[in-house]
Amino acid sequence: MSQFDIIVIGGGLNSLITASILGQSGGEVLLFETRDQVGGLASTSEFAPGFKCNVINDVVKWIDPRVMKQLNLESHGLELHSPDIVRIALDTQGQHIVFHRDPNETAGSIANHSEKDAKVWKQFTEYIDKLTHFLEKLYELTPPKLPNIGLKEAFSMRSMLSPIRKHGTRGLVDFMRVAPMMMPELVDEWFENELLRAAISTAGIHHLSFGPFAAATGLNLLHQHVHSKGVFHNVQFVKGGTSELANAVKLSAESVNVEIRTNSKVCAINVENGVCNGVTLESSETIQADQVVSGLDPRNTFINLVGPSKLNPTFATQLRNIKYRGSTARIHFALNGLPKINGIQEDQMGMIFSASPSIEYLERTSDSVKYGRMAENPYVEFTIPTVINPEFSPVGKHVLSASVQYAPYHLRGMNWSKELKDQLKNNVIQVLENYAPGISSLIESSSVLSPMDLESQFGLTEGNLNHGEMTLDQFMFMRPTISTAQYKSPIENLYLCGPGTHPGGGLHGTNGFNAAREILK
Amino acid sequence: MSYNNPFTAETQLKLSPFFERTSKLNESQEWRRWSGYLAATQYELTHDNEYFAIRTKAALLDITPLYKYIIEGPDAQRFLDRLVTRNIKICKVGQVMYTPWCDEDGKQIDDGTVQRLSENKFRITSAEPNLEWLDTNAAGMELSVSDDSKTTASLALQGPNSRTILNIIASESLDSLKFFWMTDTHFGDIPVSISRTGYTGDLGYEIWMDPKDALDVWDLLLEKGKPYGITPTGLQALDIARIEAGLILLDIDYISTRHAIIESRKSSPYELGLGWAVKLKKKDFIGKKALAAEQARGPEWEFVGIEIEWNELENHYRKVGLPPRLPGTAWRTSTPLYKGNEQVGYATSGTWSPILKRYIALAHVKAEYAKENTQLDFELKVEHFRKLTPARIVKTPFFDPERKRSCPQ
Repeated sequence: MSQFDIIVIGGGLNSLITASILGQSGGEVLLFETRDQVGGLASTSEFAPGFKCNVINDVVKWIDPRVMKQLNLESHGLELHSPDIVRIALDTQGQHIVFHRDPNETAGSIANHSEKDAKVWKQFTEYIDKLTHFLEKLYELTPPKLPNIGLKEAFSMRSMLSPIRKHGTRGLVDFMRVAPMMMPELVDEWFENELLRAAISTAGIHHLSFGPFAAATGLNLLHQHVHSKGVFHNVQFVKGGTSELANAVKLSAESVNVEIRTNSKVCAINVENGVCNGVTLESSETIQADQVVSGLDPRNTFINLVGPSKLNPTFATQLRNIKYRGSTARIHFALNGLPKINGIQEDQMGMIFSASPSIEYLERTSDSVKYGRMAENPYVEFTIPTVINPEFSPVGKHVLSASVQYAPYHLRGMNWSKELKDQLKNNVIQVLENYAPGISSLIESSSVLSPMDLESQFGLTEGNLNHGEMTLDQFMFMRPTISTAQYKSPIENLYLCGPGTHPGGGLHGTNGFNAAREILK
Repeated sequence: MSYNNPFTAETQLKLSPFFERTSKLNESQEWRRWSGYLAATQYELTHDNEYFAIRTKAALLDITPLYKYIIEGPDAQRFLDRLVTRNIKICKVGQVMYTPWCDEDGKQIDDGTVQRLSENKFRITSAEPNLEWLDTNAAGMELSVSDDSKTTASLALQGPNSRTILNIIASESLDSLKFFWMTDTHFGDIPVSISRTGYTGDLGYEIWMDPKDALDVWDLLLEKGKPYGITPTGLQALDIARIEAGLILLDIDYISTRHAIIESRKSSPYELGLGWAVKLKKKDFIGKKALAAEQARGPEWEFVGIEIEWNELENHYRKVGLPPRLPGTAWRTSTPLYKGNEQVGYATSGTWSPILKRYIALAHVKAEYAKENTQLDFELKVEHFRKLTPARIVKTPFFDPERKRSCPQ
């Protein structure tokens, strides 16, 4: 039996960040990853002979600046590419809306549809930017433990005063108004053009199981735009693939002697009398540690690894009530050439495309979750990663990676099978054909990851990419549960650092950073 | 469009499988609701004879309304050991344990008995429905929880003659059956289980059977028990007996943590005189941490027996020109207890004990006033006016006959 200061379970981005920061402060840290490579949701791998893809996330929306600084990621090889054009909302008639980094240029593209909308675009991006300032400060905090909030907790939230000072209480009121909003309400206040309204709404439903008419899609929209400096639909590509982000953190961790063991599945978190003292591996090896940090989602951590009989009944109920409901599928196509998209030049291909013609289209496709079936006309968001990273495919060939909503984990009267995945793939190809006629003839092979596959391959409960839905009732001091929102758990010496904690999902690393801070307290 | 509502409800009180007999025997036709069943308050016009049957003959009570659950499977012992405060690991097959169970804050949810029917099979009884709590805590364990409330009928035969009657009927002698043990036997060809348990604090047994055999068992008991004074007995008499025995009643003497809308209404086993049933040496159980902390700092409240002193009581009535008035039945109204000008507790149930000839009650008292023989003042209403009369803290059970535990030599 060996003994470490800290064991970290999971090799995803947040786990690596926590391990690295704890390593920096001199702890002897050991990290376990089940898969053969670290990265988790920031993985890049071969899906067909000669073709690579970013398995889950093609882009990074934002990275916590504190993480960049503390881990010095640039010196460990992280190269981010911020394209001038971040997104194109596709139009069947070829009148696409092109979202640029510069709002004035975006306004120019919007003007083709509506002069009125074009005029207020810049103002809208400033408005959203202002609201995200509140989240930026909020995200740096450890949520207070409610309901017994004392002076100490209130004092620890004093940093929230700076955005209030900057934007006034009016800004705070706007934030509190927009976060619980649904997309149609938000865009009604600004825009008339349907393609634009839908393109904005896609930010609100990103990786969610709800449609744009769901309450608090406003919060999800703001969440996508934290640290975006006013760039709506901001994205950054990682040079070499998304896994290079994880690799940079891995190198930083290894530089402070964090030991990383891949192909090592933890099968139990050992708890004795309410105190965690280590883990047991699948190889039945037991390793002791003073502290254990889990980057896995709450259900995997507590129900599967700790075991329900070690949990107090109220906490067990809270855990059972966390909503996961993964509804996003990923499909990767190996193409034998660059697809031709109506009205798009070849040099405009290195960004995100979205097939989202109207809010109603998005809402109707989200209905499939309610009825437990696959979307017939899905919302497809895709990118061609080979434009940024040509080494992903043989010369002259390309990869198209799509995120597909909605493909619910829970189906009614059927199960995720090969036939069903083929059907989903065909539905996606049909959508793509509307904008890129003939694309189906380019497809050499493909790989479909249903939420069921995401669960089995990445250990994501119900295939949820955020380790729990990004809803207002699972936000801040309620994430993952009201009794565990401080990165701690009712079990002594057991901590959480994954996206199931505040402030939720995405490749930003805030969870891991905040968790490390709490552990070091 | 029809709503196609699958919900069905029992809109009338349930009838126990013994109802066919008890309904005809109940001269008073006084009934109470007990766990959704119609249960006899008393069979005769007054309960006196039934009470004395418990203490001097043999009383037969229909206790079918008790909630009963069967826990079965390889993890059954581990599950119950974690659920309740007593050590189920040392409960042998054929043994019965009385135990409270708590939430994770160490506050009591309910209390009942755990019967070990076989290595991996247990029956737990309770005052209130507990299926959800059992199910919640069974997550991840290899066992099944089933509601046995309707699938097992039960009778209590309590009183000094109870053993004699059962020995006549049962295929095996019960002479060696010890207090809080049980045995499987037959009444003729009817299989029954008999546990030496009860709610009277007297020699007594509880008989567990298939509901289809209920009427045959009832008839057999009444027939063979007749020479020994067997008496169908209702809840009124039982209530007096259980106070004499110092046994608590949920919703009367304490409030389940499930229904307590404010923290101060909750009680821990330590505060209910059940500290002896909390086994802190056990590895882990629900509420252990909180209970260990409470034990270390000492509970805030204690649950005690009090005796209202006779002479002063008599004086109060004499002053208004009346003979002393005593409760004819057990009462259940919270009644204040004072030390000087300060209220330091409250009695939750009390009765005149016909066998002890003492006025007794069960009470919650702040720990510093809970020592035996402490003198407190009990609030008494004499002709519409509130008076204080001395009461003394005494040991429970008030009535504890040797026959309760002993076996014939």
